[in-house]
Amino acid sequence: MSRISSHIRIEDFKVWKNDELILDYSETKELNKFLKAIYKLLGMRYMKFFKMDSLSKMGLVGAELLLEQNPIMEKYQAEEIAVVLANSSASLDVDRKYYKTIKDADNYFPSPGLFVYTLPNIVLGEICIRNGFKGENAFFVQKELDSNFIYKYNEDLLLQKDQNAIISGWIEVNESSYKAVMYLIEKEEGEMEHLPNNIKNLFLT
Amino acid sequence: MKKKDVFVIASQIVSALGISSEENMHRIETKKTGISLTDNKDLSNEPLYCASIDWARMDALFAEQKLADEYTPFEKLMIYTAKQTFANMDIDLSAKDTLFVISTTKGNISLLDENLAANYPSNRIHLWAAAEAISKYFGNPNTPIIVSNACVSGVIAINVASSLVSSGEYKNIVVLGGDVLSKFVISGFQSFQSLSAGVCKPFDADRDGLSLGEAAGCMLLSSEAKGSKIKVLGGSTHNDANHISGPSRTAEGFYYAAISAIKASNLKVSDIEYISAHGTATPYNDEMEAIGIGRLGLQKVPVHSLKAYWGHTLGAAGIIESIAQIESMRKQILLPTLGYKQHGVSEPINVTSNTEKASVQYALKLASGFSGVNSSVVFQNVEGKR
Repeated sequence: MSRISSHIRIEDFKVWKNDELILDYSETKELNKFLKAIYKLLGMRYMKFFKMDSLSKMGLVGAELLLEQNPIMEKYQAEEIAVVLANSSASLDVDRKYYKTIKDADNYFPSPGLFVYTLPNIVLGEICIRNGFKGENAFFVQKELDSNFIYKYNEDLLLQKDQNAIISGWIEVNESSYKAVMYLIEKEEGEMEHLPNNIKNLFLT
Repeated sequence: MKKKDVFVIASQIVSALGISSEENMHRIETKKTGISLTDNKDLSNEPLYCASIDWARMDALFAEQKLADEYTPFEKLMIYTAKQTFANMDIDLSAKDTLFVISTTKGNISLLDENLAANYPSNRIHLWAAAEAISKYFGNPNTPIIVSNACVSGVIAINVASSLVSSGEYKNIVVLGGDVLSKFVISGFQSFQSLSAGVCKPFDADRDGLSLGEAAGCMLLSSEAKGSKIKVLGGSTHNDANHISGPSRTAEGFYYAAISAIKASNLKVSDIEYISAHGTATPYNDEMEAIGIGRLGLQKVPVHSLKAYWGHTLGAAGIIESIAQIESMRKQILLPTLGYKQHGVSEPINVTSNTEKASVQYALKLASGFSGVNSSVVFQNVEGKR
């Protein structure tokens, strides 16, 4: 039976780690400033962060929070660490921003730096590059979290595909609405059992 | 629990080459491209080389099938392709043990245009809403699974579906992938300066970028062979951890993806007899794949790229290219790489130039994409001989 060794939630301008509130930024109401505040809280120095779209920024700080006191690269091989995420709006948030740059023939300035983020799986690449993970990757789009499917998919990676750790969860940004619930699955370490109901509960608490 | 075998029991392709697998295979075997110079202001301010579906022909077929206008062109293309796949087949799509797995990168992205969006239900810009519309058309009771993982989406979709059939959770899975050309995607690739000035030339010394295309492909996977001799074996996906918009110079993720897929298939690397590359014809992608094939020690194994026929079809690519590889295994031929004249990668890999007779048992399909992601899947023709 695999375990959930840490979990985080980013929502309502607040950050929880393992159910403990670690940042309350609710006076600001601006997503980009909020994400930067999490970056600062983590003491990160990673200039690429500032080039990213909101989805990738949120995924990156989410992964950072999960791994803070748990450097899994010291325990596992790079190719044994997977990232599996899902959301509802894919990359629609940045798709709208990119679309504005091509909408009018008179005001046409498509930017490769923006276009590259118009794929939801880019956040997987950003997490892998930052942390050196070379394991399995998958991005699923779901109307709402399908915890049974994600659970089974991840168990299959651990049991059949030689993966030893998985950063998984839900990461959604669509204009002013956003939410990240991410968790780290390991084969033996962690307080919580990796089960569909426990995953569901991470969204509620 | 014993894992079940996974068979490919039916498949279909609609692309610039034609509206059936037969039409597509004929064009590939006779080395005819579907890419042409296109001047369409809805797609691009400047004329460009791309592989467009014959939409006038499709619209007539959609009308014949009574596909209502509530569906977008993308959805109609997907529904039509799936319908053709099941024609003359005894399969219950409304059964609980049948599932749709859908692969797309941009789905209905053209609905960002408010004038267009006004014609359709408001949520159809969302991939899950488009996927639900498609699976509901067929009366399927399950929520479809959607893979949106850049250019490897199709191969991941096959691997997801194959795992769910082999575990016994579903008896039949419809793997359906597609993307249609849009100004959104074309302008992005133009801004990256990654498009070829003509028809793309995979693995060639003069290759200068990729050609975009549009297509849909459908593959029906089942735990019941129903006469099929083609099995899906193992698959895998790995990240380079190197760059979001360029491949690893050492083919890191590519190598792990191939090795893991071969291992998951209980095979040795030397069992692989036939490779379908991603082969986009960008300078970096093809060089990376050649390095990866070299790292695997498979330089002598015949390898093709099909991108100069139907272009890079994004969410459809992994599926239609797998179907073409499987069809060629059934027909006991190797497919030719159009556009390849002078060897242009550093490893002496064996790029095919002509349609040749060959019986193959184990074949490897590869794909790579933005975010540094690489996927692979192994197919077996149980009647193939070494």
